[in-house]
Amino acid sequence: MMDLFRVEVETQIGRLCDDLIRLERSGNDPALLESLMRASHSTKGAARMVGVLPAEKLAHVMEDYFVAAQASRVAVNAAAIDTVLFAADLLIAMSKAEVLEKWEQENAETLAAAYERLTALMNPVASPAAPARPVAASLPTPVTQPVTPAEIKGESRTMRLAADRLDALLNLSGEAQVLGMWLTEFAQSLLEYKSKHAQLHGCLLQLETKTLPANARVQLEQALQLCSDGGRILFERLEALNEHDRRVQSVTKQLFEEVLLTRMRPFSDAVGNLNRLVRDLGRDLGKEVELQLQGLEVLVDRDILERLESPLTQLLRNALDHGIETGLERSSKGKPDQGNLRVQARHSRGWLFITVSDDGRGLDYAALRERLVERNLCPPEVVERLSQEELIEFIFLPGFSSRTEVTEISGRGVGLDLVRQTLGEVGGRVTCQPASPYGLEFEIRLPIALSILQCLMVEIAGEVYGLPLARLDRVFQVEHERVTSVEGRPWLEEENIALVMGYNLLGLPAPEQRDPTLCIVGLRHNDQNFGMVVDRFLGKEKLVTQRLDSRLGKLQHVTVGAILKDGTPTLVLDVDDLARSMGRTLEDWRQEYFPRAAGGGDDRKRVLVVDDSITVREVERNLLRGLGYDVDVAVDGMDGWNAVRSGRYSLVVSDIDMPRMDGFELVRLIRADPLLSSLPIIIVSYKDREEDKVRGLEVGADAYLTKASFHDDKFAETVRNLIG
Amino acid sequence: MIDEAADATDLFQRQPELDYLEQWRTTLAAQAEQAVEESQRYLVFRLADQLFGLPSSLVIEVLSSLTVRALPNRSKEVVQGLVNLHGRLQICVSLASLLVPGQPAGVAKRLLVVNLQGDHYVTPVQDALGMHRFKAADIIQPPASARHLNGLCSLNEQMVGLLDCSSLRNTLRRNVSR
Repeated sequence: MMDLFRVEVETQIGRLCDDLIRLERSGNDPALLESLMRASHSTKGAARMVGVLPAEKLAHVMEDYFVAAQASRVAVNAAAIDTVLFAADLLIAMSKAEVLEKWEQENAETLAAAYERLTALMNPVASPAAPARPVAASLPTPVTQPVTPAEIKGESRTMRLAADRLDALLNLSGEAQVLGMWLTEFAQSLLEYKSKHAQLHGCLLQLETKTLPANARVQLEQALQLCSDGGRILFERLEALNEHDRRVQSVTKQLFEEVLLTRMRPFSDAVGNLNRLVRDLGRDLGKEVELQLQGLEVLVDRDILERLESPLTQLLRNALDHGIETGLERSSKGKPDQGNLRVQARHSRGWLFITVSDDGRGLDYAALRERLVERNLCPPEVVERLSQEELIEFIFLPGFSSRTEVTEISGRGVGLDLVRQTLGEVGGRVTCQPASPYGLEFEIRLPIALSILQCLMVEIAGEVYGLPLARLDRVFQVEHERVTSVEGRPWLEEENIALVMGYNLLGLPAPEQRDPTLCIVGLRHNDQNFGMVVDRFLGKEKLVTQRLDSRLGKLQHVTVGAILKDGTPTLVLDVDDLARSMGRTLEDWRQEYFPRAAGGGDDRKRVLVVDDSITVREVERNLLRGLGYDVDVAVDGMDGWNAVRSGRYSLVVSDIDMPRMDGFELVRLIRADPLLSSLPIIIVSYKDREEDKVRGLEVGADAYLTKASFHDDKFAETVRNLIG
Repeated sequence: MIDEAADATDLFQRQPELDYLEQWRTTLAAQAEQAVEESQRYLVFRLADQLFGLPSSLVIEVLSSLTVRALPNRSKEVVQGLVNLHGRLQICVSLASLLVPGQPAGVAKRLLVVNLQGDHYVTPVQDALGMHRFKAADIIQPPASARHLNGLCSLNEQMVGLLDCSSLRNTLRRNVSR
């Protein structure tokens, strides 16, 4: 029973609040008053049915007030509306209370106050001047009220439905489509049979032309007849199958699309609160503002809708606090006294656009420039040269506010960066520009449906993955040979990006076959470009995504799952995770993460080059690679020591003068280690004094070469002698 | 004759005495309780060469096979990956790796869809051997080392390990969320 009561209160009082705000603007519209009276009357009745006494009392007085207003016995002014709104909020709060008695006890005073004030309204003499508006903090904020269904074009009835049900429907209808596809393929496969049958017929016909003994001919005629009959039946059945297949495809497609639409709600669902917000805030600030809402019937995905409330609220608060001027200021500028706020939703070019605009004072660019310099966000010379667009970008920075005082209304300017972040989480973006003729306009762009993701399908280590197209920079194919290396990292010079193997990132085995061309996906993260190498590209797909089971937690490198057209599950990769991992991989010097040239086996010897000069490392590396060895690099002694302990090296080539740990120390450590003591070591150094060489050999190096000896074959010779 | 008929009718319409009723009521009630207590239905299935039983209320479906999609950056030991079950992605786990570790799996002819106190899983088994009723009296204590069993019962001269829902659920949860 209580559930029904709750629903009733939400709907009735929601409508009541909307109507009240409209009433304030329209004066004494009798239709509105009637509707308001009815709403309170119904609420009173519902409260009586479930036995919630305080609610009944409150609703009763409300009803009386409206009746009196209809008879013009009482005033309908801002103060009165405040009072009624206060009571309405209490009613909603009451209906949501878990344990009613407890709520009543805790809020006894507030309840009594509301009752008194409402009664006082009825008594025009006794009613005092509008009391200070009660602090909203003592009440839970009213939840998004649904706009009356009749206002939405085309929506006749609405129903409450558990979200899970709709998700289940979506999954099943997707599965139905997959099953339907099988039917199509089956029909196709029968064509082969059909052709064989025709061949059989042909064979028999040929046989007919030969001379045959009489009884054989009889049997042949029989066979031909059977074949012909069979063929006719087959033909008919195939026709029927094809027809049925067409209908199944059509129905499952429609079913799927309809279910997808159930995920969509009209934009009005997100803005129910805004009228109230603007009104209350306007009163607090002493500014008269009108809110225009456009595009209420525009459909928005459920998941996106939830995220809209916070950004929209913040933008409106900002506009009211910073943007719209007081009535006096406005008239002195020749603007209409009443400020105008507009929120509009529309679909365009496959995106959902929501604009929030005001006709206020716009941005104070001079103050903005000052603040940037003050905060050391930008040197003064640069600040002067920044264009308006560039300046505007700064307002989205965290902690940035162009007001000196923190106001309770709009906070400390943490609003806009949060707006950008919240929207970014669902693939949206927000931009700002001056409105004409004056004021500011924010434009939010969002994907129309969250759960439908346009993906590039790729194959990595033989498995199919999806990459969200919106997050990809570029894709390209290059021949193996065009990849060079810098500091041991594979590098594609013409695109200027480092490459990482996809299968390495995902912990999958390397494929045996290697194509001569590499398929590379360019990703971008925080201004860095990376290239991920995949096996091959499989084309674009529109995937209907599913959130993965919460028990799995957040899977590394994966955002959501989806089911492909053939019914197999697939995973959508998380571009941010991938980029972060790529960054980490590229910092790890030791990993051999670039494919060896075809023909390289595991029996290639591995050499560790330790030197703090990148040039030297490169030279030595290329030399050694040319000699047929695999090479890893380390940047100093400590790094080298960490690497050599992995036990994978046949030879160490080390410098002496290095930070953190020098070459002598490194050699000493290696020699002292029981597992590594016999590892061949070559020291290569600029120092060519006799004592250095002696010292090197003393600590245990097998050879000591100077960097000069790279120009002849000495180095190569020494290496070969040591490890072959 | 009429009297006899009347007597007969009287006989049939005679009300039983109260404690006679009471006696029978208690007897009948006791019998019903006994019948309920006595046995529970289990789905018996085979993993490698051992038999296990899951309370029938936990088993939702038995399927023949589904493509399993492995998860990246994870070992495939317990959590084998995801499957498409009626359009929804479900977690596929290997009970064999928990209950008969180290034994070669063999071809899994069946897939069980189970609901362990709200946690849904799909798991491959070598064979599903149907529902069996085991009487409480026939169930013996499992060895302490068997972490996931809460009983053992004999079926056609083979021992069936009866699985404990809570313990299994907890172990699976730990493995899944790793």
